[in-house]
Amino acid sequence: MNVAASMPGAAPVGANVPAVTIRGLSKRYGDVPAVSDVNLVIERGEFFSLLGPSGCGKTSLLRIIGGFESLDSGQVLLDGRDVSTVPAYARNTNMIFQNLALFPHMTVLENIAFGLRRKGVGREELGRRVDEAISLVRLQGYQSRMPDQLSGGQRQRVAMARALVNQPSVLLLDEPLGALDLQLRLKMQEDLRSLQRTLGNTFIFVTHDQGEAMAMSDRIAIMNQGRIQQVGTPEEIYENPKNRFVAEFVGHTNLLDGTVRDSSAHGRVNVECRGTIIPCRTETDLADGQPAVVALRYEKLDLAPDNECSSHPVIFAVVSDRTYLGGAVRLHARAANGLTLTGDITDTARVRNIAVGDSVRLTFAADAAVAVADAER
Amino acid sequence: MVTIPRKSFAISKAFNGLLVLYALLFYIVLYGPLVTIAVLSINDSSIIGFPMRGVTLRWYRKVFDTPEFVDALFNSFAVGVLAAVIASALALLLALGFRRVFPFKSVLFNLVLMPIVMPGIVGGIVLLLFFGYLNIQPALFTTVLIAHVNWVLPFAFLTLYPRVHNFDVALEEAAMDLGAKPLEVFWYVVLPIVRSALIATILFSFSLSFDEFIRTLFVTGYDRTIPVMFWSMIVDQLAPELPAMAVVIVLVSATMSFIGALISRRAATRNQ
Repeated sequence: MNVAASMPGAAPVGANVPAVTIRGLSKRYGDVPAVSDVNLVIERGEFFSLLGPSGCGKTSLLRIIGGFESLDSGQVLLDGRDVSTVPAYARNTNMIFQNLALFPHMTVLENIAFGLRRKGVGREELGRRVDEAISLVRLQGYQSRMPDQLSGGQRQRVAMARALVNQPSVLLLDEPLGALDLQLRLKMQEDLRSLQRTLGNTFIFVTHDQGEAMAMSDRIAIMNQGRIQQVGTPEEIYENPKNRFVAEFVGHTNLLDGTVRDSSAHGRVNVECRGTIIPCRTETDLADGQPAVVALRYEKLDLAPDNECSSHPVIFAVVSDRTYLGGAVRLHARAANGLTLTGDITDTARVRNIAVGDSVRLTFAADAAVAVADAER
Repeated sequence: MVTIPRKSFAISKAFNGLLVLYALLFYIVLYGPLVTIAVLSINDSSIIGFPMRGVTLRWYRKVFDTPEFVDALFNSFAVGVLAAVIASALALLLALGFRRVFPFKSVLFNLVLMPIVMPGIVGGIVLLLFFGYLNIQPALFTTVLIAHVNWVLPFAFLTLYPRVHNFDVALEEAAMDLGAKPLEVFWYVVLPIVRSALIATILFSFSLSFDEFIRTLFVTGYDRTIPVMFWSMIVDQLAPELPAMAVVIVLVSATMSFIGALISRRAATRNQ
């Protein structure tokens, strides 16, 4: 991909200016808040994902950054410049639309050249940049095709080229992979990621697919009901969910309601759930007696070893359901005190003989459980 | 193999015969008068009617030698083209606007279509009163043109709306995203995509305007359109060239509609 080297990602701006800064942004549709008091800084060259269930405000936020929706209050800064009232055509952002929105009456070449033509780029430079973009997305030979003569993946690449040829300082992607089948989807994820690494542009990627967000992003913002719930690297979000929503939305998680019992140690608490004491990590300030939620990932649960002495917590339970997953077996189990747990057990040799109705001793590492406050935010 | 009993075969054969007879009658009722006029238009007789006294094209020559006819034809073309273009342009804007959600949308939508159900004679009187009240003298490019735009607009809107309704707003957003200002979005993206539909609409609109009679009669001034001129010629004198004139009028109107249908069908198949 030596072509990409000659195609700088973004216009040079002051080195430490973030690509996007969002301050106190709110947007309502009638009585319905779409985005509420969002503050966000996205660094130059980041692959940043907005992740959340449908209707969480992620697309609204993206469209506000792109200039397709007005904002009610707050500010959007692109490269340090306030663009809150700048229309879409005057912003240095480009968007990949959910349905791609390729112009059906134009060839691949005309589609890709559209942005440069609007900006009045000279013929020679236009030809060169369009050629670069075409080879960047490997569409050589398809220049004179019409969009309806292309496959799904090719259309995707035309959309990428049409946006990237303008060298936007931020590329906005509105679930562009949603319509693809799984194989192509994985391939396009890889392509997108490597394209972003090569070009060094800032990508803001909207998705409701946590796997996609995890696999591709440098950082993720989890959104729910118009608010940002947590911002962090995929690891941070997975390992240290900040609240019940994040813990539940990302990964498969047991959420156990309980009460904080011992918060004396820094970063560690004991939470009592239906009489069972569960030692937890925590990043939140939790006081004794406060209600809390314990988040325990399915895959962190294991069967306790047969020899009794174990330093790890052990929960006695009866298997109520058993699902074979291939690499693991998912056990739903219920303790005598009513506590229910689900665990993906990878120790196939031992889990093989366990059937519904059997008693099991479930265990997990000391740092597996995370305690969060029992309220969103 | 299923063998069909002989009796039922005979019945179905008789039924088929009846069906053919029905279809024949249907088309005779539909096109009989038209064919009669066409035949009469080449009848070498100065009385309109049968029997045929030989074949001639002299009535057609007479038609085009009649200054009133040529003037009226010109007037109808001028008003027709203008009314069609104006009505189609307005209809396009309406159709684009009606893609969005806004208060009282369905009421406003139906108001646009209202003139279709308004009886022609009422429409004519209403226009006459309206122009009289505003003190606008009846003339070709004022009252008649406005009356025609008024008449043609809902039809133009009905033709365009289904085509424009499906127009993906994301295409406009994509154009804007790529740096196109609103007028450029319209010029480079919207217009090319709806172009065939628009041309078809203009042609249909022209045909409607070309044939409009009742409303025009009320608001016409000194310059008459073809239908008005034709009507007064029938009332004044039953001139032998009238059938030929009728055929010319039908041909103009039908040709426009035919081309319109052709373009709109081609656009429809291309958009599949």
